Amino acid sequence: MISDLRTRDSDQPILADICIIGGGAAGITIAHELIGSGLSVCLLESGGVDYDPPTQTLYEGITTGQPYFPLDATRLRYFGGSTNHWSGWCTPLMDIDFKPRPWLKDSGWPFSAEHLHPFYERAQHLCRLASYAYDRAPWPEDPPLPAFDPALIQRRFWQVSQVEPWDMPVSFSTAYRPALELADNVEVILHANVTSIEATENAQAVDHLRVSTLEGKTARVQAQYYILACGGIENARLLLLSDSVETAGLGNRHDLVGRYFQEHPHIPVGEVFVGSLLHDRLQGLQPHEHEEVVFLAGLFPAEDFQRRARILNTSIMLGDILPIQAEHPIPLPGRLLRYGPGPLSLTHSAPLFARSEQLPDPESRILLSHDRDSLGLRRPHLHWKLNDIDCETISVFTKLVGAEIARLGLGRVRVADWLREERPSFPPDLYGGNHHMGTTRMSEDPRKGVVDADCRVHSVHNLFIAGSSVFPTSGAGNPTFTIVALALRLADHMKDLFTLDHAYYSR
Amino acid sequence: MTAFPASVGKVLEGQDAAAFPLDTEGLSDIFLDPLQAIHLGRHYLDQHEGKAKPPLEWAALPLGQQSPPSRLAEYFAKTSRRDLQGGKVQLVDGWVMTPTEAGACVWAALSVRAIS
Repeated sequence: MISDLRTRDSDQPILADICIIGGGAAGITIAHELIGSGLSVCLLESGGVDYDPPTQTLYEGITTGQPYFPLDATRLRYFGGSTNHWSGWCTPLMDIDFKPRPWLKDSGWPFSAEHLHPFYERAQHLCRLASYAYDRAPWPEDPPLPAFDPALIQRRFWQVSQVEPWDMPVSFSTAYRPALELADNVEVILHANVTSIEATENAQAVDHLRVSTLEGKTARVQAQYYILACGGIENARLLLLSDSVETAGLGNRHDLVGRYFQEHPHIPVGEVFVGSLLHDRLQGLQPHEHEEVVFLAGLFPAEDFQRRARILNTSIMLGDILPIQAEHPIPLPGRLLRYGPGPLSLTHSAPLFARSEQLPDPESRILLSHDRDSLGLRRPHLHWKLNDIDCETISVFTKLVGAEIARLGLGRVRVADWLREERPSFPPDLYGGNHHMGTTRMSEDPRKGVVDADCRVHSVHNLFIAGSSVFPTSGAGNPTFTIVALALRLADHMKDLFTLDHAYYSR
Repeated sequence: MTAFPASVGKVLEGQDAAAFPLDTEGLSDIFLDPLQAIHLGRHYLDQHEGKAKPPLEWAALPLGQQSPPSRLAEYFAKTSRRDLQGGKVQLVDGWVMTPTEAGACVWAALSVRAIS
């Protein structure tokens, strides 16, 4: 069922087996998965079912360091969360993204990609995608593709659902609200802002939550288990705000909450120019529709190459391949050497665009600012910090793509101005993907992570975290698909916990 | 007979380019568009003035005063392909090139500078 805290009887505490805080991709996935489980589930959503400016202003905050979007523009605070405006790009993280990479400090997940694959396959359905195929085309006649050296470059896909009637990516609100509305064991409570997570005296468990409407009506929520699912900025902020017992914030004994904020730097990296008729060879890198899903192809550095070049993961995509205008402003060097490699002349071009992994850096972080929101809570302060290797990764891979295009005799790549320096640095127009990751990172070691491999906060036994804030590293793929896969995994874990608890108490 | 520089690598390190006179007629035996090669080579030199390291393969060019253009053309093509197999690249005016291509362009620009 769906209720509203503004009109709900709040004299009595709200009780549930599991309380989920946040109604975005992660929270909705878990709630949906627990329908019919026999567990009572309460999902607290700050907003309503539509965009509401006063609620949205709760997302305002300040940014320093690398310029970033306004924090109230980079996410949405109403039921469905950012799936109400997301691009829908889904791809699993790659095998290497989960591995410890000796050349990257603080890399490595507590489990492998293989462990997550069954959950990715289930997420496929929730995200309304086609066949589970990302490193090969699932359609019978794959368009021609340049024979890139597989030890250097691999092609992978994103899938983007197109849901009727507007062929837009699936909104988790539209898709799953009806089922939640009908569910007997799940209550979605709208306009319920969590203002504090109150810990027990020893701070080893959550005792209850304090919630409030914007109008000031308050309530208390008590559950056996709590799942924080408010996104990469708010998850950290709520823990930092919950300082009544642990003054540095709940779960923050090792000063890790809020640190390691990661984004996916997005930036144009140049243009590829190809020879007459050869542009057909790049069709395999253009969008393709299959099973009513759009497949977008990207080039990724192969695992071996990442290891040898000591870089992060990254991706390069081609824009539309178009004929070059007759009055092109610069001379185009096709084949320069009379007997050298390359087409005689360059006739078509396409822009190249990189989306890249960012090095996890503890100095890139979420803090609390001194400004307060309309609930009286300190607003978030994002300090986004990038490192040389973030830039170096894109530079090295762009040149590699250029070398492979030339080796295959297709044409040439001309890199963007900012990449032409001996030691390139990011230009001011670099932006992110509205992907907020890493701020409550996962590690088996409490000194290196906020949550363990089950996404349980190390020091707080009944508090779990869902969402991209648990990513130790972020790969080059968009995060939502992994968020949904991890949420399904956490939902299974919650069911197991209650089965175990039941077995224990039944003895 | 075309006279080719003995070691353009040394030129890039600061030696007098005028020491390497050139007869330009051999350039079109090597380049499809010599003017474009010269343009790109000049761009490289302008961008790297005072801080240049020669393109990687450049110093190894088997140049001699008597090298015929055909031999050089063959050499450039071969090493350029070898560069690509090894993934070696050089940026010239933003273009991703093989070091051999870049070096050849620089050599063309220097040669023209030497006779102008």
